[in-house]
Amino acid sequence: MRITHLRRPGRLVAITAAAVTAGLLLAGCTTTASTSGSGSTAASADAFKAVVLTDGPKNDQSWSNSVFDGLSEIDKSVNVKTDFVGPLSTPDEYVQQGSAYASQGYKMILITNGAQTASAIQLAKSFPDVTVCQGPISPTEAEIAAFPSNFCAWNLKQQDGTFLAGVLAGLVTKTNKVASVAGGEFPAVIRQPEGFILGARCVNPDVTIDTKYINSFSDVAAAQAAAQTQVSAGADVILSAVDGAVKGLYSAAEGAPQTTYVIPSYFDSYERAPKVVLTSVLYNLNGITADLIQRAAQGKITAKEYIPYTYANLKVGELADFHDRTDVVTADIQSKLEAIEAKLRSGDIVVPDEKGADAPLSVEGAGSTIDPASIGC
Amino acid sequence: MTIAAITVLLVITVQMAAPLLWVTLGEIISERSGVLNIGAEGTMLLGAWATATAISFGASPLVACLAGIGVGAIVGLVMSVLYIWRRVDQIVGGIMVNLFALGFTTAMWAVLQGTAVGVNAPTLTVPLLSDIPFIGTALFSQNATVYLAILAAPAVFALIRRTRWGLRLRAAGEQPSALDSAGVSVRRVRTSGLITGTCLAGLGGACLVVTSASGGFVANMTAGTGFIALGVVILARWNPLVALLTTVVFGLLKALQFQAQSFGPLSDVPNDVWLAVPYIVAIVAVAAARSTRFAPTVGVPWSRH
Repeated sequence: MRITHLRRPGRLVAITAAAVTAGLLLAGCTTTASTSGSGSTAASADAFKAVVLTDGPKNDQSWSNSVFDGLSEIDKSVNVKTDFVGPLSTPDEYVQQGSAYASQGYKMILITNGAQTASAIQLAKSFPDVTVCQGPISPTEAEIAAFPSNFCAWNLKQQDGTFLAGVLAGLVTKTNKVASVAGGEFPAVIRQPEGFILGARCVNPDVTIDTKYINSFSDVAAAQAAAQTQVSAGADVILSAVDGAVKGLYSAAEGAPQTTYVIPSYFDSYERAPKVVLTSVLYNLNGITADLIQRAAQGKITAKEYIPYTYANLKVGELADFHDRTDVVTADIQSKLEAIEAKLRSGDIVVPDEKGADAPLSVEGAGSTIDPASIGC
Repeated sequence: MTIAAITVLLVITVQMAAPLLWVTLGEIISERSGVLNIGAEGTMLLGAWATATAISFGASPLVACLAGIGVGAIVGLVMSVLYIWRRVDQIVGGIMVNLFALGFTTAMWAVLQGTAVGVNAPTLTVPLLSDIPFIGTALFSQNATVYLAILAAPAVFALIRRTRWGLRLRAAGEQPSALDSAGVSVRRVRTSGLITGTCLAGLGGACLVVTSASGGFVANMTAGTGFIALGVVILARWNPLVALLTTVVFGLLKALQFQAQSFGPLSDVPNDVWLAVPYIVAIVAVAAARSTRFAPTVGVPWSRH
């Protein structure tokens, strides 16, 4: 008997396996969910159809989860059919999914990823009858002028929320050292830790910040490692500027030798890590999602419109409940926090934008150099 | 750099190395048997998902880790049927496993998730030894999955070099025809090697969940660890003890990223450079290791005719 190594693979089986896997991938990688904005009854055949494309799954207890929840908050009187697609990562995935939905008669593509402007513009140019909204971004006047007429940009003033979180951190810290673990170095992320330290310095001139960028929003091991480094340097309050990777911050705080707190974003995450969550920063992304789709369905989005969301128009930037942290967040601290928040809401304190301001918060280190008195502290 | 900073650097190093070491050991066993498991990343991710799901339904870290190992075994069984018995191309199959795992785990975590609050595995501190300066905390104040990873390296070495199963495993990878002539089923030996390897990859995912993620799951949370393991296996020349050292070096390089960002003059170097260092080192090291080649039968389906 001649013994050989068979180099010819079972191509038929390989092709079959590839086809099955590809099918499962399409069904699984980009989880889709449909909702109807017309109450308990199914949306009628002439419903306005909108699709949301985002970078995370619908249950990440973070950014994308909040976006998904917004689909069920659309005004019941608006006849809307919506779909949610995520997680998407690369520009071609956004273009591919957006094109597929636009070809099926969807009239709005809402992209909730600040890094996908080029993809959104490409979609807007390819489907001129479809409203394409993308954010969070803060375009310049020149950039807005260059947008296709069916394109809209949206933004949210996250730094107001992290500013308040910073005020709390500045009052709670025992070491005068706070920290932030951030996913990526671009304006929509940089503004978060910069607003955080500015808020902390507003009430505590001695506080400093250690910000680490891990170049990922989901790498829990990297997030944990970054936070452990910060904790070892004395940080006792850590702001999360990542998504799912916040679990790495919980791990670091739970294992820290000194009492250490984490401030996650987008959701009240107390139940996820009750030992270490101090509070959470809420941005009402669900409300923003619902509002954008309603506006599009009602024809209220104008050509090249830039829609900034703030606390004033949609309660962007609040702190969640302190739950049983009243021993840490004492009545005195709450009183000081409320006083600062009142000045922020009244406009006596103005947290700079990430672009356009004299000292924009998109510059790393801006929050540590701006004079708090200059913004109304 | 202070003593405290060096101590935490070493703690992070070991934490970073442990999941990588589990996957690397699994890949060594698999490749020693003659099967190239490109799907290590996907297997690890599936193990992480199973572990986190079990924890979310209230399972203890131990039971959850067993769930991760169990899913690894199932993946290994499926791969065995495809690679060893149906002779599917192992490169294509591995890529498919990785793609499938990313989509499957993301979708399943969305629809199947309990409400229990996740926690890390408890830290087991060894008295006195954990007080040793610099290395004490790193080596003697970790959880069980980290300790076992370190102990597993010599164990796997002994398993491959000192047992009859190990001898057959190596023969299946290097001289399958000789093994077959001796009356031993090459396919069965390769199947046992592949399944053992995927169990360890699943445990690598479990280790990540109970060490760094507070018992939770995040889409794509393995972040390429399984792919790095493929390179580490080559650098370690399929030797588990060298793999232990190699993974520690990679752990150190990854840990240094975060120290460097706030360490004096090093902080002026762009963050992206530090984040890329481990991967640059991996590419250079693999390219420089000219004498390391796969055995000619690795990745090649075997048949007696």
